[in-house]
Amino acid sequence: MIDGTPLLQMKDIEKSFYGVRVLDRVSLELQRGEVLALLGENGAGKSTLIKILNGDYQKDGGAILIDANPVQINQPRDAEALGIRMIYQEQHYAPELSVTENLLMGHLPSRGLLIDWKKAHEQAREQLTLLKVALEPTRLMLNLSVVERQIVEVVKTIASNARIIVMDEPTAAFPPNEVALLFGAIRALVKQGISIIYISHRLDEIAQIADRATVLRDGKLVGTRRVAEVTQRDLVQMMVGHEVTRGTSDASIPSSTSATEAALSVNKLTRAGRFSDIDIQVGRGEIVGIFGLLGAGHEMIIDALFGEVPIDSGTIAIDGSTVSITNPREARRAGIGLVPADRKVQGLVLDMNVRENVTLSNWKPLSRWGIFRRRAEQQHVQDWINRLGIRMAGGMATKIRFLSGGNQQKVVLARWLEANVKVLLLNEPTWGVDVGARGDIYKQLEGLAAQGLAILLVSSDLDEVLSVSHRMLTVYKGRLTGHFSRAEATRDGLLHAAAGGTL
Amino acid sequence: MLQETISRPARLSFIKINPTVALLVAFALTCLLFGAFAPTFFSLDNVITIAGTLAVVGISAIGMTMILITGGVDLSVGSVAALTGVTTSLLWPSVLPIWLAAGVGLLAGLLVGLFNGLVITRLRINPLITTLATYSAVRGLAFVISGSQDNQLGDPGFQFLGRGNLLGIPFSLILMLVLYLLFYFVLRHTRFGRNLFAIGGSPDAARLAGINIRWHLLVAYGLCGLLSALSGLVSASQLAAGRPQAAFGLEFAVIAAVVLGGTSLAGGKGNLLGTLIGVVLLRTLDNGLIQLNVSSFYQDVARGVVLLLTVGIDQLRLKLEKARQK
Repeated sequence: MIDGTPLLQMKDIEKSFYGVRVLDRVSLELQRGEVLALLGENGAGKSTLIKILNGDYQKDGGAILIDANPVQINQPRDAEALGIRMIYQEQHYAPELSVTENLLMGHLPSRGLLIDWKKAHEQAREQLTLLKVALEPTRLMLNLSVVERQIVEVVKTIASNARIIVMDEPTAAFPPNEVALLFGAIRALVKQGISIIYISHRLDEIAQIADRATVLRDGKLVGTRRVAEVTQRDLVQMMVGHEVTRGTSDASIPSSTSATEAALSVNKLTRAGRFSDIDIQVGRGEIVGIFGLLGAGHEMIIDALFGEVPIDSGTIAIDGSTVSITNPREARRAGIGLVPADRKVQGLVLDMNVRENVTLSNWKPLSRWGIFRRRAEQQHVQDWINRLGIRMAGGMATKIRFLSGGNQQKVVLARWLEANVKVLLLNEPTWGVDVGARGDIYKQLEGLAAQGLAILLVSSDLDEVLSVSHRMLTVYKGRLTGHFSRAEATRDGLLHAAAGGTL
Repeated sequence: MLQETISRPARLSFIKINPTVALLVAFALTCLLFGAFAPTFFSLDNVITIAGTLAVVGISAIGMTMILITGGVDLSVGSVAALTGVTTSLLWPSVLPIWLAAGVGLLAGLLVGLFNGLVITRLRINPLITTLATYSAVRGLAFVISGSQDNQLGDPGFQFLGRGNLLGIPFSLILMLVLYLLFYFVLRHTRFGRNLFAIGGSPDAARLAGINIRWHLLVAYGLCGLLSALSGLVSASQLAAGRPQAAFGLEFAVIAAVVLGGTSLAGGKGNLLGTLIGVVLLRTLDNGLIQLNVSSFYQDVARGVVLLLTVGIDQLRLKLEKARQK
């Protein structure tokens, strides 16, 4: 399958922005009917390379060949004529229109002045079945799941004579367990001889779908490997350039977990139709991980603890005393902080700087009569920057949007630490965070726990739950189905319990 | 770094210019242009005339800047100003002494602002619709309670507010500048001010950070009402009357000045220094056109053109800035 002249060759591509070299003689080959993973940390040059392929940027040097013939790609239209298609993270679609209308936008079949709906839906269904997607074409886009929308996007792309499809983090917004649907579509594409360049941070996805992986680091080509011949750890090492450790030794687990007083104690928490009879105890210095598959209701439990989702019955106690939490303000007052999954929308104010984001929830010790004491504020923020190792280009006055995902996440952490919370809730703490920065965040969490913070995290990333939690719970259909200590926990065991298997 | 500076194309360098500086340059150019064609433009008298006209728009613009920062808008400022003048003039001199009457006028403005805030935060009606409703209703109210009549406000002390001078400087200007200093500080250095930016920049993040959004919005709309009422008092003092049709179109002048000053309609961005320059620029433009004997209809056209030009250039600047960041 992967032999002969490559469909696409990018040779010794060079690109500089204002004298800063972002691509240094990077080469890439894509075979017919192949899924090539393009890996690298943020800033490694992946997106620049792809934008050159799409004609968004002009290369400074090097050559692009398709079927061994040199081609000029000066603008996106050139790329389109060559059969190159991009699928971006952000999706562009009309939510109020049907799948059919989105698929056939611009060329809906008509009879006279009227749209021929019967024919239109038929055409749409044909396109969908080509990728073995069972989706009713009359449904409105807004009623589809994120995954289904992305698939409509893919279907739309191939309907237009694509030969090369570039997917830039297509699953970034996916609940991890629905990825299979997209992969089905990708496999169907490959069978038709279409080639895919697949960019993702999620290495388990790469292992499942990609044939080969090309790794970039700091604008240079590190190498290309057959995915079947390397481990995920090898790939990570190629990306970051050094060995990465996940989690720490068992020594950091507090010795008498059950004996320590519970900082957070949740009793029979119930929300009708969502989750019921949830009992959770998190001791001081303990990290408890909740794992659930898509739609299990595990994320809603955390939202309920923070007052974002109303509860029907049950109690929440902090340090042994029952608290009433009906909104985030009350949660903060009770000593609970939340690191939300979508940090760019829910966690941070992107137009504000690092300092302002850190002190957003905590102002009492930093202000007098509502007026910030500048020195005190700066000292506190600098303290967190040092302790958490937050890195940014221009000091604490740097706008938060210019920080990397990992550093942004640390700012959200810093905010709650500054607010002196006793219990920290985290929802998918490392979504969209670089592999290298992930380990760092895990290390920080463990350090914070060691200082007495109670941490409850919800994740759909099995490895994350396994590597960072001292104890693990599984949720299935709104109920707790499993309870594991770190010693007992295995991938199989957790998955089994989270999938509703009996213990 | 050095290399970066050298290789950057020259045509991109202007985008590095601070928007406030760019606005000042625009202002200087406007002045030079008028100065060249209208000989009296640069006279001390005329400068003081311009200075005396700043407060009505300028004071209300402080409130509007806060509202735009939260991501909202307040169309009712002109109507509130008129209601305040009318209320004050109806109570004086028969019912209340002048300053108490003025206090009731301010209270009326505050109440309208709080009403806006309550409707927006409790009934969750969009600010544009809410204040469009009060824009209409409050103006109507001003006509109803005044019986469509002007009422004299001849108290000499009260007239000092809009027409008096301190050391040759219009008192209304001094009052306005003090308020700018105060609110500049509030926006930059207080928790309240910073939270307004957070709410406008990302309502979700603000809520999850434990900020009481409703309370902040209520206070912001209340303050906007109060400041617009003060604009109304200055205007009534200058007119020496409470007039139901006073401050007509004030909302346009105020929003234009604030947006000129670099405050984003999308919320989360804005600064009072820019607003101040925006107010001065627009009032100078009006004055210059009068000096040139341009008909008032063309003045309206000119205002619109300047607004579009300035915001258009700013958009272009943002676009180039984005392109520069890859």
